[in-house]
Amino acid sequence: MIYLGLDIGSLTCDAVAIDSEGRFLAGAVVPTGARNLEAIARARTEVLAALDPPSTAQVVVVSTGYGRDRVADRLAAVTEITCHAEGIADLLPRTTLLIDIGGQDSKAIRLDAGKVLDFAMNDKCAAGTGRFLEAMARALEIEVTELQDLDAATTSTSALSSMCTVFAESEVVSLLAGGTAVPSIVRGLHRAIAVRTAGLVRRVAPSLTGLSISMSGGVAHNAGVVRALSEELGLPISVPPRPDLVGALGAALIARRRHLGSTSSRPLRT
Amino acid sequence: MSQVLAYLDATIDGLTAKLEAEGKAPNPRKRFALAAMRLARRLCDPEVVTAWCGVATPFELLNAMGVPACYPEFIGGVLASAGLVVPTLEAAEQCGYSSDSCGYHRAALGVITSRLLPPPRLFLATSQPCSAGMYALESASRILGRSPFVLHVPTDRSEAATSYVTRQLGRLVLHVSAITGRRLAEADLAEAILASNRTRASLVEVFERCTDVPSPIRSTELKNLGIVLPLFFGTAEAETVAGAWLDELRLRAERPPKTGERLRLLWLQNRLQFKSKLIEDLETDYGAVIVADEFNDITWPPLDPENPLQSLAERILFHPYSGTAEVRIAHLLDLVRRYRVDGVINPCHFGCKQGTGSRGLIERGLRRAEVPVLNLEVDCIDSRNFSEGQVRTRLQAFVELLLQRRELSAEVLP
Repeated sequence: MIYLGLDIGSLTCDAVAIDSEGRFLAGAVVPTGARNLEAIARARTEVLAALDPPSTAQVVVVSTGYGRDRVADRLAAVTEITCHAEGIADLLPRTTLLIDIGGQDSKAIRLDAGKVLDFAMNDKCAAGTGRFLEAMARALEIEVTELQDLDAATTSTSALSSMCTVFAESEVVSLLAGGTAVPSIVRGLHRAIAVRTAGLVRRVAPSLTGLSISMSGGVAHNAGVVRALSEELGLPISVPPRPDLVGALGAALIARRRHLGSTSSRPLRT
Repeated sequence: MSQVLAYLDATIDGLTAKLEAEGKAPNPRKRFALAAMRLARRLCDPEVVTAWCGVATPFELLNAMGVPACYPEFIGGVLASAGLVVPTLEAAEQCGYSSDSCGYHRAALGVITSRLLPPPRLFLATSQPCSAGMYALESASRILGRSPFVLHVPTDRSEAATSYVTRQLGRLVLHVSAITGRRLAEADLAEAILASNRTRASLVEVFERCTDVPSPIRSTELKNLGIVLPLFFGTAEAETVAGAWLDELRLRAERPPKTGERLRLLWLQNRLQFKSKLIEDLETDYGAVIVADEFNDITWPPLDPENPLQSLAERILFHPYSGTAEVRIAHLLDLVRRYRVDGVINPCHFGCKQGTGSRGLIERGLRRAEVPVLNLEVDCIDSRNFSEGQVRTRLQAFVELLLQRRELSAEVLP
């Protein structure tokens, strides 16, 4: 039996396959694009093709992410909050607070042994998420993958006053026109995201004492954001090797537990 | 206007036909909807003298004087449920009203600025519990070159405050008389007070029956009842609706409906007014039922027919929204206890001081009592500000958290 977790996000569609023992077998990340059904099919094909040795075993799927209801043959659809908590508990079991920054959502999740105690999500808009960083990278005429190296290249941090993607973009352009160095602007952007995200963290954890903080989601690949967040919170932040796959891993683990636990039980939701 | 009238007339005709076809069945939800639609229709009649009022207004007085009246929130709610609200919001915004302000108020202002409906003759604002509503009514009345009557409501519950509000209610009656030419007959007021008390008595039993586990009502059945029915207080219509709910719940007690209830939720303030299946899906998919609404409660003693204005003043002052958030939190905790609620959903309606302004206070107050609370960020009226996917994820994650919290058996855990 293969347990497949599919995390259909706004920017990427992530897939993780695990075996009956809960061991990681393979993972895949494909851009979601405009047609998420195609992305779901592609992610699924890629992750199953990556199995070594190849397997023809039956596949049990749990989906998550904003497109979770688009997976037709799912055993269940579970929110990304629950899945990220499940996934991080498997990878970094000591985690008691998880920060997940994805394409258009950021979340702070308090958890205990993989069970969600509380969570907070960004209000109203997607400022400070993956899409925000993509827009800023475009304004800076760089690739989003370059952000972390530019962050590490300086200790200077520009002050940015706006988190609205449109206003921040024009502020970035103004700073560039005024001769501010790109690395300083990048650090300013990372600091702005960190301040905003720290607000979410404090909503679920007014006191940070004793917390073990981890980060998941695609933005956790950016060491500059992790650094800025760690400085803002005054605590170290652990990042698993594939932070973008944490939600899909959690979904796969839930698929396994649900399937092995009882096939006749009432599902949480299908 | 023609679209609104067409919607109201079609809805009234449809509901009337269904109620006639279904004979003597209580049909409380349909009777409630019919009363609301008929009121909306009267408010659209240019020949009828109508009033727009602040939410603390005692409608018994206006009903006893034959003045159909509503809150701006009622206007916004009707238009949103009809899918006709956006043009009024745009009209208000084009006249300079902030798009960050309360959608209910913007909708009502848009009705005035766009001349969508005949304007009310009377504007009776109240300074509490919604001061933004007071400004919205003042704005609407100024646009028409009129002055609003403002009922100033203190935030304390002293005898002096009661006397102060009682005197103002007397002046409110005189103000309405001066404009409408109608006097408030003592006998009419007395009958309105008695009718209001009969409605109250029915509602006390209705809400008491709703505390049963599992809940005898589904998540959407009592939507808007506690906020809209006061518009009819003192009338036979209110008695009919409350009585129909009582009959219905007595019948359900004899034949309890099948329920998949697994979680019991309390909804604060108003529901989403535009069409959305979110709440129904939560019940169907997870067994998470909204068993209580903050406004579906009786928080005042029976009115005193000997001292009608004074007891109406006391009802205003003793409303859980009057005063500090502490009063409101105490009421919420009482609801949580009575209804055995697993979690609370606070929609935090945009631009509302009670919704967003007190969010932190309400959250801390509930959490101190270990009551889980979910804060949404929604505009209950303006569907343009609504991302269903985001709200759905928050609601579903909250329900998943509650299921885990209650340590339901592994069969229902993800």
